[in-house]
Amino acid sequence: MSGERTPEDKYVSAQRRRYLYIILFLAIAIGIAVYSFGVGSAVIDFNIAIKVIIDRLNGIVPDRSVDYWAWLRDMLVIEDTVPRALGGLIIGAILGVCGAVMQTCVRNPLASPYTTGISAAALFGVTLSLVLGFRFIPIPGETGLIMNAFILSMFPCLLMIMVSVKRKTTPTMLVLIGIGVMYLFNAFTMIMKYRAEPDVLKQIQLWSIGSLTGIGWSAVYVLFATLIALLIFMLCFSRKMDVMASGENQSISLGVRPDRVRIICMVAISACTSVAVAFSGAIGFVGLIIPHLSRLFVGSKSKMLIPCSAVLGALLLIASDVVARLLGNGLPVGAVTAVIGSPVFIYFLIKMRSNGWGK
Amino acid sequence: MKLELNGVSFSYPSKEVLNNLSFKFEGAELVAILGPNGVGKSTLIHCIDRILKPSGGSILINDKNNIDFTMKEMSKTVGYVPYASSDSFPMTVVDAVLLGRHPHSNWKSTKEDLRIVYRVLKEMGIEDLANNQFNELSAGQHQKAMLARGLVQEPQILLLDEPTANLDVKHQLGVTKLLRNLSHEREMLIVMICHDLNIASKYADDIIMMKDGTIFATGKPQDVITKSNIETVYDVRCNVIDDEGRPHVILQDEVQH
Repeated sequence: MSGERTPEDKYVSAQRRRYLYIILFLAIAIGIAVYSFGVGSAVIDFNIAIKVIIDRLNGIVPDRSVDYWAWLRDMLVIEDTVPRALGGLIIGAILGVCGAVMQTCVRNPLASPYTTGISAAALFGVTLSLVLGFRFIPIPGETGLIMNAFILSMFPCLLMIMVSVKRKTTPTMLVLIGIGVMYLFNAFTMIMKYRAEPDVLKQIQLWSIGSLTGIGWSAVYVLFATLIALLIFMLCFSRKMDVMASGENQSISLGVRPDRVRIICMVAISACTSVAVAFSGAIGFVGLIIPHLSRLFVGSKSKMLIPCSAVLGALLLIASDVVARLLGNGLPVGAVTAVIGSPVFIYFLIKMRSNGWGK
Repeated sequence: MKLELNGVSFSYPSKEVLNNLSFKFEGAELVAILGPNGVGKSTLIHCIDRILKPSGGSILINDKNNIDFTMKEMSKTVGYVPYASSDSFPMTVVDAVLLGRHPHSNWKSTKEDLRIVYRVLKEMGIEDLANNQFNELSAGQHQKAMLARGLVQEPQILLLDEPTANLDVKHQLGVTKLLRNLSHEREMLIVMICHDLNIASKYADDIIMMKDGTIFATGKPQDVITKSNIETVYDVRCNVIDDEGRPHVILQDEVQH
């Protein structure tokens, strides 16, 4: 009968409606990021920040010798506030996507980039540099510190690859290897902290909790390239990942090599997570909770789950940073993400009529 | 479609599971694999579907060695319905069944894929459950949904690992009868592992009876399901009577040694 919609048409319409959630969350995240321009500074409020940005877009750059305060406001907004907001959005997106892919690949709702030991290894790399002055690549300044974190965070990933090549690995085995690595590097870090001077100890603490302080434009460019590569790569693998979630034997029967796909995705996740950790420290909550929140809105299909996890991760992290800066100077964003994220997650689980996790 | 095994063996590091299995089936029929627990029935199915690699022998599908198939060719030719679902995350019945179209799809599902899924759900009698969560179905509904996933794959050979496990008598009969009808209507060779001798006898066209990792007997139900075979393979006493041309087993007790 003309005009009567088939079940297939209804299914396609329902899928399209889910994209509206993604667009909505993206708009909210951008809105919060713009609002954050005027947060947490004694000299910059929202109106000043917006004026500075508009002036810059019109090519107006204050001269320090002519108007010092205008130059200072310009520096604070353009070199600190804006890249910090962008960095927060991008890091949140990376962590959200990595968490979603990790949980799908290892078929474990408790999996996150941090259960593979990546953040613990990265933190130990930072600690090595701060306490002993050791750097794998002798580059001075923060760059050398970041390289330490990046190089050591690849260790858990390479370990998983080696084990997978030697023998057939199950998703549970990969998570257990990651947990073992996490405890190992946490133990090394504790030993280093025991020997550290008080001021160095404070720095290590900041890295272990996570912070967006000090993210500049060079970091934003690297993070943005990482996010784009991650999204493209994972969306190309999205159908294979969905099949993998049905089980090892079923995956092979449907034409997917789960071990191969798992390792490829884990390498990509490890690399991208280590980049995020290298710039922001160990912000661990986002990768664990965001995929579950995303599933409540868009379901478990990776083609929806990945972009939704990206925008929700961005939203959570930038919102947490705003709250951290409102509450007081120097409060690490990682401390706030868990405080905000947990109640929100529990609220949605209780309120949503169907969460699909069974009886 | 043709399935032929020649001298197939499989061993785990610590023990041999399959030893020199050979059989051949051709055409549209329902084949039931019977045998005690641990005899290698699931291992046999996994070897056919290339989930496991045999240590010896060859498996020919339509006269081509199964190791010569690409993964995509294999997944289009042979379908598999596991004993239990390992789906890890919440998804609707439609999405779960749609995964079965993966071998036929490129980078995204098409409307034709969806049309096939909804058609099969209707054939299974579970089209009303399309938007329900897959892991919230009853055992019978769940089994039908998993079967639907195998059917949308449109394979020539469908392998099922105990499709009637955890089902009540009514659903056991219903699912097995459905499989027999589907094998004839869709010209598929359906191979299912089964523990119920009478259901296998009633609906299967051919039987493989296994013992100790080898094929003990193969052939028509009336030739394989005999008192002597059952007592030897299962170590139980029984009587076998004729029920409309098919053997019907009446179990008595374990064999006293």
